[in-house]
Amino acid sequence: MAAAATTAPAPAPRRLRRLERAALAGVMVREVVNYSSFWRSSTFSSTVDPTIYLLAFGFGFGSLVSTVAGYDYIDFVGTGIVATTVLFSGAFPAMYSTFVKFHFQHTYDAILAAPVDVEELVTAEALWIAVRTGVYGCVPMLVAMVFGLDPSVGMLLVPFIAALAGSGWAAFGIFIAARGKSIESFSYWQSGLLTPMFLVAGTFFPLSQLPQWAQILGNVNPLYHCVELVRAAVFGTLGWADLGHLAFLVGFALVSWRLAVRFMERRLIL
Amino acid sequence: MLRPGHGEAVRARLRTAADGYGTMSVRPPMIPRPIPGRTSQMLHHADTSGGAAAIRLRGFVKRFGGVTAVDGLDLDVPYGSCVGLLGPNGAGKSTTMKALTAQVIADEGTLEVLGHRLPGDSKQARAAMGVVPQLDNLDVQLTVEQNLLVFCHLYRVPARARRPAIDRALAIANLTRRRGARVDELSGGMRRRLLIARALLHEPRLVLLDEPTVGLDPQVRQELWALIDRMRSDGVSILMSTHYIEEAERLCDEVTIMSHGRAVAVGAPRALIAEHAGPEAIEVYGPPLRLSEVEADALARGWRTRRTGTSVAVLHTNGSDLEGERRVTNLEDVFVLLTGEEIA
Repeated sequence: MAAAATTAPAPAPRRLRRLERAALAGVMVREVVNYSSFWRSSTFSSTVDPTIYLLAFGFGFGSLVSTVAGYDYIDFVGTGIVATTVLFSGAFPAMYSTFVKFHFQHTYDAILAAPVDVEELVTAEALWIAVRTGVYGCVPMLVAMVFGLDPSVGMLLVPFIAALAGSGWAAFGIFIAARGKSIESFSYWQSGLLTPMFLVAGTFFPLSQLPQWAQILGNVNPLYHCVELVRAAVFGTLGWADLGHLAFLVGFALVSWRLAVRFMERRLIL
Repeated sequence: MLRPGHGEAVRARLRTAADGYGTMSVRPPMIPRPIPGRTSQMLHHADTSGGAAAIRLRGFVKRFGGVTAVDGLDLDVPYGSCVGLLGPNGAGKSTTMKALTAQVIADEGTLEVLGHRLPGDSKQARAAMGVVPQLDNLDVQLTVEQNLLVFCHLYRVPARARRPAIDRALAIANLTRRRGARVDELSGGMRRRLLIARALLHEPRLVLLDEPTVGLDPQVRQELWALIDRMRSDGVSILMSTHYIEEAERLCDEVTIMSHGRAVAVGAPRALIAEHAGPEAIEVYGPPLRLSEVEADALARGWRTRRTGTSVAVLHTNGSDLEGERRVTNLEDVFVLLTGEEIA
């Protein structure tokens, strides 16, 4: 038996490629297993935050304004908050958890010592966050339905729109983390870029109410394109123009993804 | 299930043993305990396919800004052997370890791991090697078993083989009874054993151990030594960095002593000791003035000395009747003589 075996050639190892599905799955399994230990707190904030916004704007502001841009205000704001929830649950976890994982927990050292590349690591992390935003993004819409938003078939598209925009935000968050010197430095991005995006996104009031410069800014704001797509899906007004919004979100996700991979490589490979 | 090359690797090991410490036993013999149901599976890792050595570095240079961390290092880890990288903090050991997983990219030189050229083919090499890091990077909120499961996926262990792989790794690391415990409930020693178990899930041919016992108490350190020695007996090639001299003497077939990013000596521990420190040292204790006298006297007689805190060790005395405590020389003597630095 042993003699026969000594003449048998060792099986040639399979050649490992770029962006291997097994590597992506491996990194995502780690995230999923970890998520099982903190999903309650994460889901709590992702559910309660948009509900508070809805109550504040829907009932507070909504008592002053009945319709906006032809929609009931609660419908308008309920769909708008989908996009802000996607931003919150996409970019922020990506920024903070990425930084914590490479800076404090050295998790990425362990993963990169296994047959996993930075590109696979970043892609898997962004995809997992995208899945989560796909789910969390629907929460404000469901809450708005309790307050009177009419159900529609187009709503079934919302998780996919949320996941697409979420993948872009997640990758953008990873990019910010890769550039961050310290966790405190994230406040510049947060207050200097992400929060102002709220103002020019058509979330709480229509972009057409704003001065022209703000409208131009809105057109390069992924949040705005996400809001427009969500509204078109929910209110059944999808048209050719929405392909432009879709293309913008795809482009945003691709550019953020490449930036995240590139800067994480710089950060993790010395 | 012996594979080609295994016999040769074992013979090579025996030769190394005879050359190095076969006659003068620095290393207390550790009798490998057979591990039920896995010995024959693990033996094939000693095969020599895919290159002459498990690790081969030539002229490896790495600079960080103006600082040269590694300065033209040559290093060989023959298949089936345990090689130690010895040196103080800042000698370039960790940079070298990171380069072997392509987490550090060489500025100059050629690096080959398991026959794969780095950094281009590093992923292929990483698939067949395990890494035990210096810093604990376990997922503390997860259980022991969950930590291992994640790495089964990362190491591409097929679905049906995952459970047996986890069972086996837990058995090796003596953690079977703690499989359901959360990592943050484990002691430091258990966590270190879990890091080793994690590196062995996919039955690697090569294991890198970066300061495997740093910060552990002596008893736990010895447990880990037994564990590492068992890996060696199973034919796994090992490269370990350490700044504990005793660890290198006990476990390594060969050591490379590093200082300021360079290899200052390479060889079997016993051979290096015999070559550089001679057979015995005379340890002279006394007040500082007396120690200075001893040093001056030794210098005049062509002997080598090293200060060890409250004493002076005098070496190469060739049976002099100098009064003092006689002891067997060790790698630490070699290190200090070669580099002028204390190691720990």
